[in-house]
Amino acid sequence: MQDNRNKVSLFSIGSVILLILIAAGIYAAVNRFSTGLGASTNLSDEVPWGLWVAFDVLCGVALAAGGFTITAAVYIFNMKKYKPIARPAILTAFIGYLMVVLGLIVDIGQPMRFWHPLVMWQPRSVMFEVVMCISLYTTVLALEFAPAFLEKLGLNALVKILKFFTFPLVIAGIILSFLHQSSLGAFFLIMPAKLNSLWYSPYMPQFFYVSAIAVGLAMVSFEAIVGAWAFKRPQETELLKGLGKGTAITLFVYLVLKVADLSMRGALPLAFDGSMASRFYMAEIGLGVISPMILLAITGVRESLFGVLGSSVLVIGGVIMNRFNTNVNRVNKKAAADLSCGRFFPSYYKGDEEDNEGTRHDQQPKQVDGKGIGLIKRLYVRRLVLLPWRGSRRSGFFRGGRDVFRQRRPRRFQIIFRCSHFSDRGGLPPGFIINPERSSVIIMVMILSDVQVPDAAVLPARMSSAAVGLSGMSSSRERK
Amino acid sequence: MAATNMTPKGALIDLTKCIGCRGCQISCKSWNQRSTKKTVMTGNFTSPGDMNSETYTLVKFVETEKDADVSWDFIKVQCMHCKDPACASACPVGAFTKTAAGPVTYEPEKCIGCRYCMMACPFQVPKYEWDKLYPIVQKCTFCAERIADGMEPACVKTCPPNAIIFGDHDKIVAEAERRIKEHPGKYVNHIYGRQEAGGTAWMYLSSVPFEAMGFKTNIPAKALPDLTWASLSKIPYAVGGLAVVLSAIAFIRNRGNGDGGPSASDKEKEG
Ligand code: SF4
Ligand code: SF4
Ligand code: SF4
Repeated sequence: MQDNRNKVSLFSIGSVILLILIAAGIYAAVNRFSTGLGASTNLSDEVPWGLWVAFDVLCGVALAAGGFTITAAVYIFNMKKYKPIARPAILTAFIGYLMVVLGLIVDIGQPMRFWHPLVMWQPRSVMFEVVMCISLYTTVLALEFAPAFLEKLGLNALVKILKFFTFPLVIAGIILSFLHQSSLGAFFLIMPAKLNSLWYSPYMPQFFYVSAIAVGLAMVSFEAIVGAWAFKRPQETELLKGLGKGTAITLFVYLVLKVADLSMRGALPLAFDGSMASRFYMAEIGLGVISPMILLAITGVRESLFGVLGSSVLVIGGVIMNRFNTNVNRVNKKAAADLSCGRFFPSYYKGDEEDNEGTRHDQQPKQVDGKGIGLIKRLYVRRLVLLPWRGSRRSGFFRGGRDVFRQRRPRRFQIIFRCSHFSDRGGLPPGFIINPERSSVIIMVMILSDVQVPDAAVLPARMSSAAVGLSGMSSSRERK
Repeated sequence: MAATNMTPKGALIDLTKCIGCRGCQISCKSWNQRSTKKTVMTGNFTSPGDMNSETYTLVKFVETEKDADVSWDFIKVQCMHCKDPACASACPVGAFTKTAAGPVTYEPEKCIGCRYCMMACPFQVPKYEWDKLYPIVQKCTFCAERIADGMEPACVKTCPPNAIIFGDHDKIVAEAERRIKEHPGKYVNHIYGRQEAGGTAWMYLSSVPFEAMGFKTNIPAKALPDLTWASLSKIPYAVGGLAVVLSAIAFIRNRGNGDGGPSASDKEKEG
């Protein structure tokens, strides 16, 4: 370990990659504070939590779980051989948590009020608990790591005091980690109607906790290997073997719990029904849990550097997938069906048939499809019998309407089109024109919604919008 | 705010009576001084497409097919003002309060903008000011000040055909039950909001099955905050138990060696 203080060049490949990442992060933060949250993140009312929550908070906290697993092993269970990696594990955990806090500050709408939860207690909120635990745990990690600094500064008296509190600190750290690692799962307990039942379980807190231990160990192995390469240190093969074993055992426990939970809830068939969700689930469990578990169960793999590295990467990828599937994809996938087409990253879940049933009233309205047109036609025929009805033959009376709707192909029958963008000025919304037939019946519905206050400006605007509609009508008549 | 001894209020929307005039939507905007947002034409009569930070209530236009006939229904949506609101339990700073009179009110000056309320609300009600640099949440207030002054909410006051009725919650429920009973075959036998999410102040009656109209029907009939509380309430025991167990293990495993803790320098291990 004596050569771990090697100078690292600012221009090595690793540093350059990191610098690029830092620059990208700073750009994102600047972007958020200059263009606003919606514009910079593409989040929306349908997708309130996105990458920053899924990756920075959910994954960030899970990946920093190495800190508490290793301190527990070293100081509680007295597994002395892991001591060399205790300090790096604490440091990475500390940096990880700092990143979580920074990420949260960028992500919340009111960064200047970040301290509110610490003062305005609301103990029924999972978010409150997570914020408290993360703040306290970051402090604990700082205190655990402080002696390394203080030793350098020669403040040995302070170091002595801190050392005296080692065990209380370690125990507090483990408890705090237990609480918030599992609470990240408890976040989602309140959304039974929103989460896919493959992921929603009353035991989500436990799953999050166990998977955090597994990924914490995997992360420590990963860091140990990469760190040894970067700093040209000898590899800690013995330790890696032990870590690999620990990871495999934790993954096994996790898998058993997951399967037991699925079958208890009767959701096991869902995992095999071939839907997009089940494919994601299978990928998550197969690649992220089962394969590294089997790999690490083989002694040869545990002894080979690449074996441990590869399996760790699988575990890390699996946990990241799990957190994303729980937050971004699946919640919003559900929400996407319930509310609007999910426009948020990534779009690969589009076209998943399972959620496309029915019209939902909380759905962003879509272009009326053939069926809807049929319904409205019949509405005319049956309800408004007074109106003459001769059927329609060609697309609507106002061809321009096609472009306004950005329709891919012309509708046989144009029902609705937009008069103009009045909502910008004065707040007059689009006019709707129904033209079930080429020339005779024209019903114009001025949609009054979104009119702020009826004022003098509205009337002319409304009249001009009507004029647009009428001219469209007459022009189409002429064409005919 | 409302006098604390106020009886809880409720409101019932009879969808069979609604004529889709959107008067409620407009009067809500006027009363709450909401601005507008640019809308895009989407081919549906619902405008804007969904509730947003400037639109607390909205009339949605839904076409369904019923006995080979067309049913065109208008659904006024707004915050349901749950009895035990998920949003209030989710908020880390307690920005939402369920008042005795029924409204779930919101204190914008507390909000940190974490959006957990939006995730938690089973009806997707709280909306965010996405276009602002420092956004907060917006949602229907049930016109809490009007109720406190003994008036009905603005939307109720406006509704021309009295499709919305407002009053003491139990009386409203009784009225809904009476309507279902006295008009057999007219309504589906379900008061939406009576059970959903543990009961809500706003309720719906309909002649078309709620599922078909796009109401969420998979919402559990119990208060959602209980789900997270089941986990949170165990924290004190978890803390106590873990503290004891970990100290015991640490004591047993570390007997007789003066270990320096994580802060100890690694000198003795280096080689
Ligand atoms: S409907 Fe949603 S926002 Fe309204 S009280 Fe219930 S949980 Fe809160
Ligand atoms: S966004 Fe505001 S109101 Fe909603 S949970 Fe967060 S702090 Fe509370
Ligand atoms: S005011 Fe009444 S009738 Fe008009 S849209 Fe609203 S609920 Fe329906």
